[in-house]
Amino acid sequence: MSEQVIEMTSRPGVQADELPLNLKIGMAVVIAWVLLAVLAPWVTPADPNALDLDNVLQPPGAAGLMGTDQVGRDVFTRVVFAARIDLWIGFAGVVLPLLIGVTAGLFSGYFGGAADALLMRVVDITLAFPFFVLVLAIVAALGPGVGNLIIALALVGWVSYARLVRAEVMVIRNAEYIQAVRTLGFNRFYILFRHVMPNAMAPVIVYAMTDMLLVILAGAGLGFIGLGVQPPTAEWGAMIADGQPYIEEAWWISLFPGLAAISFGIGLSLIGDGLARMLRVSN
Amino acid sequence: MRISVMFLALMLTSIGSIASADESPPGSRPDIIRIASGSRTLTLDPTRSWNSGDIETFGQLYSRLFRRDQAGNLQPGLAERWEMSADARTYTFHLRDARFSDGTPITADDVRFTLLRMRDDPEALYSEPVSGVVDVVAVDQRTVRVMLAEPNVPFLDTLEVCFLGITSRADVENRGPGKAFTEHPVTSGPYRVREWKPGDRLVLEANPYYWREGFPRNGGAELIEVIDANTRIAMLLAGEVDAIRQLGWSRAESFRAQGKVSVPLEPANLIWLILLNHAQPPFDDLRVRQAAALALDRQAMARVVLRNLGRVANTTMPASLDHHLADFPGWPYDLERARQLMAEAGAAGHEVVINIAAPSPQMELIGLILQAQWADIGLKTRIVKMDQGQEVQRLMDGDYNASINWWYNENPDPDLALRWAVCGSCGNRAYYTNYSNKEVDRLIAEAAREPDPALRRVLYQRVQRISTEEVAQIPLFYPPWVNAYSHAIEGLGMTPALQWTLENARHLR
Repeated sequence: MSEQVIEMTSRPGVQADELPLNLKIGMAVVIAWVLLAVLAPWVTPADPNALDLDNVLQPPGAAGLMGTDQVGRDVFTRVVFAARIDLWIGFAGVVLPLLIGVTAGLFSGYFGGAADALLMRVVDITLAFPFFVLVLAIVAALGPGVGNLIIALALVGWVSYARLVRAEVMVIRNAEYIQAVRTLGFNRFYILFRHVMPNAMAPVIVYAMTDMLLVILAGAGLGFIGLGVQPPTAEWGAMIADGQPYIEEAWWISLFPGLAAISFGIGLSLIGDGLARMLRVSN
Repeated sequence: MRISVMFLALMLTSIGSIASADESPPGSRPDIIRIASGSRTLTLDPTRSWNSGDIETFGQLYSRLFRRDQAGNLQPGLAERWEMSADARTYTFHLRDARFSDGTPITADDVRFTLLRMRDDPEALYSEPVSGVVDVVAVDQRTVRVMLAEPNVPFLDTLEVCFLGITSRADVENRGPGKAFTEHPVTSGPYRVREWKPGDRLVLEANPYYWREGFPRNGGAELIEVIDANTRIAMLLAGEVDAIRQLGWSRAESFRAQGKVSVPLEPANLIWLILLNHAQPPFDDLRVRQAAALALDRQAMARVVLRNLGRVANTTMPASLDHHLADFPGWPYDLERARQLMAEAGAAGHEVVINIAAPSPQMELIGLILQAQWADIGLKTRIVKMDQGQEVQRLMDGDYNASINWWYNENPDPDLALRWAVCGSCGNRAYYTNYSNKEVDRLIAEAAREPDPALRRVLYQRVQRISTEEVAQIPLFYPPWVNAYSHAIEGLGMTPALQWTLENARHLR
């Protein structure tokens, strides 16, 4: 403990050149995907939904970097365009539950009482279901599509953030510095958002990275079983499923979206690891 | 009290299981044929369904007055002999000495009950085959007389269809159709039901009273529902099942080349098509239907989707049926004319909802191509994937614009086929498209009365020409059945009428 305290005093802030290696690699991968997604129309050679029935199931090479699929669409183009959808699902599917969950957790943990008890029972009930099963059930009820998928992810995902933040807040609210500001007579909402929240956010940010991975996998998983993004829109999971009947003769249809999802997932978990290490140091 | 009742129930079930275990002598395991199909068994009552999963099972449970042999010829079934009156309106059938699976004799009264139940029961889904029956009389125990309103040339063929399997009057009336067709139905075919787990499997055992000597050649069968094609394939390769339905067109070639299983591409009375709802815009307008047909490059579709396993369909009727209009060109791919027709109709920009029964990679692929090719003529499309049952319901309710679909015919005669597909006054509103042309209906009725095959041919070909030109539906292609079989069995196949030749099947030892 004393070592860490010394470290902290000797390094008031973390400099960019001292970022953990895995964080740097992760950031590079994720930023690369974000750039690809944003620049999709300019970096791809074709229209992602244009059929070419004269050039179906062409292997990677002359017909395109990653070949063509069962209706002659360029697989590389679709993998890149799919990143737009999958990244959006990952972003919206984390930000929304994060906002809801953090707010709920802050109030619940700081004020306690009956509202806290009620909220935590809701959290318990939601957590009693396996994540994927509950998302699946909600999407099945609302109807397939990206919008409904994000709603389902928000409805299920916020509970983890709420619980995480609540636990942190319950520790922080009794800390001496909080008692100090309270004694000084600051408004309790001011205390909550200015002093409690910033100190409770570290584990949330780390968790958000792993959560984004989970959310993208859920999006791809639902796409795979046909409840996610609807055709002809490209999405990694749906593309993997589309290629399944052709796996013996045209492996590239499924392989490349699969590799894309894996690389992005690895990028996210490296960031998660890196952030965890970094924030523990600065704690 | 509650406990003692439960105890009693437990005792009864244990006695039951001991009794059934006693039935098969130790040491000789019965030869069970296992088949995985993507189609569901929804009912065991032959009057209540035209769903493909049920059609696959009806024939295994119920014998008809006639049967079809391996070569496709009509043979005596429960009717040993028959006579037709001079005016061709009265048929007399002499039944053979046959029994139901509960050991009771199959009588003229049961035949009467079966035919009239199909005709009169308001819940009967497909009464068209017996719509011309005026009355059925049980002359004596084993003689039954059927009176028709007018001569019906294909009537004997019609009596062979799986929906007219003979059921036990005594049992259906005693237990009521609800119970009689769910809990161990009394059957007249090669099998009886050992256990039915809806949504999972139908377990069949040989019917000891089956009238065909020496059949079935196996001890029973399991019809297992496996919705996902990949799972079916994995099960077949692992030896968990002996045969699978619907291998998937994209896989037929590579599986044939590998040779690990047999993929015979069996001929089928089958047509894949797009149903259009004529009762709603935009497809109430003939020009839009024609444009929709002209905008499809069906040659390319047959190559990409069907992998050239079958031909492009040129008429509204399956090509394997008698009197198919083979030299008719059908609808070509002509984008320019299609656009012109769309402009004339002022229908560009219309949104069309296409229903698809999921999961079906083939239908989804067709949907994708439809979407792209109809976009070329300004038809916007939205593809809605739904459960098989829901898709059928929407179709029957007329709640759709277009539906990617298929149907098959029970026999090689065009009569039932055209009544099913293009007849507006034959009970199903021309396969729920609401297509209706009085002349077509009249020609179909006339052809059924016409004894001269050459004249019937002319009539049926006119029906095909008219209904195709009016785009009653958009015919796509004529595929074969693409089932896969293990090399460890023999005798199992599928007839053009979607019937497993299950009673002939056995494991090679």
